[in-house]
Amino acid sequence: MTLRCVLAVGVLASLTATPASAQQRIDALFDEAGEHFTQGRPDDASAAYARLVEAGVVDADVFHNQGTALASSGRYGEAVLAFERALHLDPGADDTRASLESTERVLADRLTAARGEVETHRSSGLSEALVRDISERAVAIGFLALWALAFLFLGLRKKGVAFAAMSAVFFLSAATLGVLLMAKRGVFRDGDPAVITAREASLLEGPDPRSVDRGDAYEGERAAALRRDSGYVFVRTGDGRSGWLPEAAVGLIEVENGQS
Amino acid sequence: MTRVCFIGCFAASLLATPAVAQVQLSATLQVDRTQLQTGEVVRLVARGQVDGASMDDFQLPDFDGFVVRSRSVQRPVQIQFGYGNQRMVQSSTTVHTYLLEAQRPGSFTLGPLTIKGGGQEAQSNTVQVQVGGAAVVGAAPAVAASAPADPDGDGYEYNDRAFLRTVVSDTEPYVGQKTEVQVLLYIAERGGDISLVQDVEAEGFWIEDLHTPGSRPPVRRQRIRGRSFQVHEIRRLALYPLRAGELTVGAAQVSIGPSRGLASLFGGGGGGPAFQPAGVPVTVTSRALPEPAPSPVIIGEGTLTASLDRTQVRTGDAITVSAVAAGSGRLSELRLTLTAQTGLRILEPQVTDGPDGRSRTFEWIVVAEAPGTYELEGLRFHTFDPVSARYTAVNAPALRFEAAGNAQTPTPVQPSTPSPSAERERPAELSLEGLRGSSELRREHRALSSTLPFWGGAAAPPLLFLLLVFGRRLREREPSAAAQSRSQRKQRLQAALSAKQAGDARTFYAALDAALLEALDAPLGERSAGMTKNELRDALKACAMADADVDALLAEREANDFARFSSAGAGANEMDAALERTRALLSKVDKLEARP
Repeated sequence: MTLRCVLAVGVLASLTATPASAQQRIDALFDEAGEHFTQGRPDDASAAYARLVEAGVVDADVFHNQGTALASSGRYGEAVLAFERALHLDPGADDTRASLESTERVLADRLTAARGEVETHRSSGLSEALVRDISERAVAIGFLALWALAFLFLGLRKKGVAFAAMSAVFFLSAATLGVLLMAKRGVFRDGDPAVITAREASLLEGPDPRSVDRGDAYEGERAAALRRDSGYVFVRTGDGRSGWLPEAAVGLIEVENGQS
Repeated sequence: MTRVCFIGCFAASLLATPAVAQVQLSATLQVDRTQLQTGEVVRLVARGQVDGASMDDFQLPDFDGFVVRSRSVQRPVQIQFGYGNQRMVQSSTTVHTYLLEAQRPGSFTLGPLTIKGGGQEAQSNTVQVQVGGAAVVGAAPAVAASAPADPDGDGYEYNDRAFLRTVVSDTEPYVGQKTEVQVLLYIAERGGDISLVQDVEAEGFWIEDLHTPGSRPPVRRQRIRGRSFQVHEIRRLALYPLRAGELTVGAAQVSIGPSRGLASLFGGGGGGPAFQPAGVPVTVTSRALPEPAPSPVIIGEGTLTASLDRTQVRTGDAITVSAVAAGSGRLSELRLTLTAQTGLRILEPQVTDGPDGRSRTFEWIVVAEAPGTYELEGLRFHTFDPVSARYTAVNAPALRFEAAGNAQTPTPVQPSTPSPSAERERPAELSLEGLRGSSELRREHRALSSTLPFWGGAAAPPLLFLLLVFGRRLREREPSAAAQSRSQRKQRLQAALSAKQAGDARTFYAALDAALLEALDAPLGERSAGMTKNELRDALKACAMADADVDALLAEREANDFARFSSAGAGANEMDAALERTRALLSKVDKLEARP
């Protein structure tokens, strides 16, 4: 009887304690990663941040720190991916954007030093560029607010050129913001935005290592992941080159619920 | 104001006076021995010094009876500035050292050496040397009696008017050893246009021009065989043998033509054809370096310094390693390498040569790709001393730096002044914004746009707007009773006109009556066709129609009924009049208010 009681209490305690301890472990892992970095072990730090992501943490702060640790380790392609993920979650983070730009400059120098001359493109349409620095939520709120104003003006039923022009402006703005919102969501783009993380990778004709080599893919280059097959991803780079890359050589920017 | 200017000029002249007034010249000739035998060598040192000014001329004496076996020139120039700018002490010294081989017995007077500077002239002492008559086996053959006295022992073809002389500082250099070649033009006459017809050709040598572009070598005067010549330095080259063996320094040739410039106005040059004296080729025997020869090696002396721009870097950052090699050899061929290490990426160095060719700077960009402490070594080269025929290693001290992931303030170790081009091409340095110390550590992120409510909310406003627009359009399209009435009335009147043209009075009046009744439906709010006369009168009055108009309308209806069955009504004039009356009544009906 006593043993049963003890077991029951233990199970109950473990059940109630599980969420808290899991959060504690994540907090501890975050602190541990920061400690590694501070003590000059960026490799260990980036590994700890990777474990956080694997544990389901999808947080701009974690991706920012992961990018910083990776860049400090010289793993610039992976750092670019991490920074892009952080910016996807928090587009207004100036520190992340500054770190990303610095990493891109260093990466460009490394590529240039290794290959002589390299031309890479960042795939970014006009509509995406317009809303790149604005969060999806902000665009949505603006969109709804403009519609509300448009309806308000419509309901006033007042006559006059100025009133009509104002109404038209609200409607057009709301419509434009709607288009931008769709652009931000990626309605107009092909595939999922991705970053090539491998230091050296070849675009292959097919999803097989024996396939014909179409050309080089550059570390840190942006690409659109169009489809997957047999552990390979078919990508199209910013300058229109396309081919199959191993999944390990590509990372998707938009991460939801820890899935990369 | 003028007075102030005078005072200023006077003060300036006072300040400048000491520099001019303290010019001192001194010239000396020294020999290591005064008695020797034919074929033996005497060492002569000619030293000229000018204090307070630069040396304008250094006229060597005629070494009659001797052949120059070796010559070296040193020009240590020291410039010192005193307090402010009022005292300038300048010292210019030139030292020529000659090894002279006696060619024939006799008593020879060497000197004097004449120097000029600061507008003054000074002469050295003379030296008396006794040469015994004993012939020495293996000595160089005496200069033929018919040949001119050889000023420095180099080959030339003497000419009273002008001749070229090629002076080689060392005719037995080692491979890579610097040998200076001077092409001197000895010209007895003043003026004339001098141009180089044939330049010095030296196959098998690396050649560097020692003349500074734009500068004009000084002209000195020298007496040969009792005749005074102006000596012009046409070319001054540094030759570095590229291979062992006999190499030839080709002869130059100049053209001395009649002067076409201002010199002719002063009697220089004169007329006549151009004179083209040519030099004599000189053979240089290049010696191979003793084996085993280390690499890299320069001939002469050398020093090597190295430095880092900082000793602590973040992992992934680049540091600059600078090494400066200086010396007397051909540094342009020097290649230094940094020893590769795991965790370090060493880029190709940026190499910059000093303006005088006496130094060479190497700058490596080194990227620490992993944290740790690194020691850079391997910076070394060797020098070869031609006199002792020995090699000496020149090493730079090892450089140590630390790479860590932590952001640290760079610590300058030694000042580094990379060239502008190196600065421009230096790779970008990683500049990260640091870690974020806290985080909400969100475990779920679902994009707002990926949720159904978002798309519902986003789609609702435009859909609602479209519905509103559509409903409005529908409402606009729905015809009102009045509009419908006007349309029907129009059709009735059209039918009446057709009936009139057809002469159908019955139909004509029926159409007019129908038009009136249908027009009344709208203001009355009910069909008027079934109303009695009184009911219609009351209804029209309720619509605020004037009594006269009511009477006229009721009378017109009765007239219409009557005319439908009367033959008199079939007259065209009557029908036109009825149509006009009906139209007038219709316009009045349109203005009626709706019956309450």
